Amino acid sequence: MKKIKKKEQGKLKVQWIFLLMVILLYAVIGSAKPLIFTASLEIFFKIASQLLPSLLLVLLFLFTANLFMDSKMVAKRLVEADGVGAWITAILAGLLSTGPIFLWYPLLAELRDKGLKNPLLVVFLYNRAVKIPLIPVLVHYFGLTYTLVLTGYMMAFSVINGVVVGSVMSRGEVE
Amino acid sequence: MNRTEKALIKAINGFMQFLPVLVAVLLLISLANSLLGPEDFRHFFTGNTFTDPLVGAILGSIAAGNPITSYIIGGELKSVGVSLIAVTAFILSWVTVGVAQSPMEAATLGRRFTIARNLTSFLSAIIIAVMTVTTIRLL
Repeated sequence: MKKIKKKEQGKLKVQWIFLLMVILLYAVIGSAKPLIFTASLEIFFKIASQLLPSLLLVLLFLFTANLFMDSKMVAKRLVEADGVGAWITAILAGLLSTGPIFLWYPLLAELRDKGLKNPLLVVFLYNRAVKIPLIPVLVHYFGLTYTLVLTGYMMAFSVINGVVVGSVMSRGEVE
Repeated sequence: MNRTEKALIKAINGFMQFLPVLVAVLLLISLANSLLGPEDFRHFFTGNTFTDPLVGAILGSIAAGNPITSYIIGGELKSVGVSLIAVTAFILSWVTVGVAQSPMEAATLGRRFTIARNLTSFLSAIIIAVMTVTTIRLL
């Protein structure tokens, strides 16, 4: 777990280094081609100001998710669920799960040892891609209808993918 | 520290995790917009109904990072005329296919599982993209 936290901290450092490199690139462009520098900054502020309301909503959603969600509770429900309820639980757990995927892998491997089936694992992982807190940004760029249709298909396909991967894995066990 | 304060700090930390990349990507997109014209994106996306979604899915699979970055790049690609199917395939493969995370996934959940999951996610990205855009057109 400590190793994973270190990896996360490293990842965060890399993100700031990436930003610093881009700022340095801007500094170079600013001294060599001031017109391109100014034009780029104008575009940046235009896009950023358009995005700002959506980003504030993202922060609010993240806060709400953290207030009411507990990863240990999610994991417990995931193993205990059965039948159709298990699929629904896996979808909901994926949708509501927060935090970086690196932190989830060891926990998921442990849950599989405790009886979590491969198809449900796939459903969980696929639905993690539906980022509820980030939905305002998706709506901002593509509209509400698109977001709803896409999200609906993603949830449906998570089950199909779960069945397919489950069958591939069980074939492997037979072989 | 009470529960609300903890949740707020966690939310701010989560937000700060993608903020530097978000700002950097926005700066790069702004720079690209001032340097390149829409026609430059034609190198990757030719307007072909069959190959564009595939190209979108491949680019999305290779790319890594926070989903919000894929939404922004996808939005910009759409604004320069790249088809919505290709953009959707790009976003979907970005968020569901994890080439960059695959070594860690394989180490914890197994190689066979990782390959099968990523392959089905890749194919699903293209199928869902086609179905999403078709559904929107029918609505």
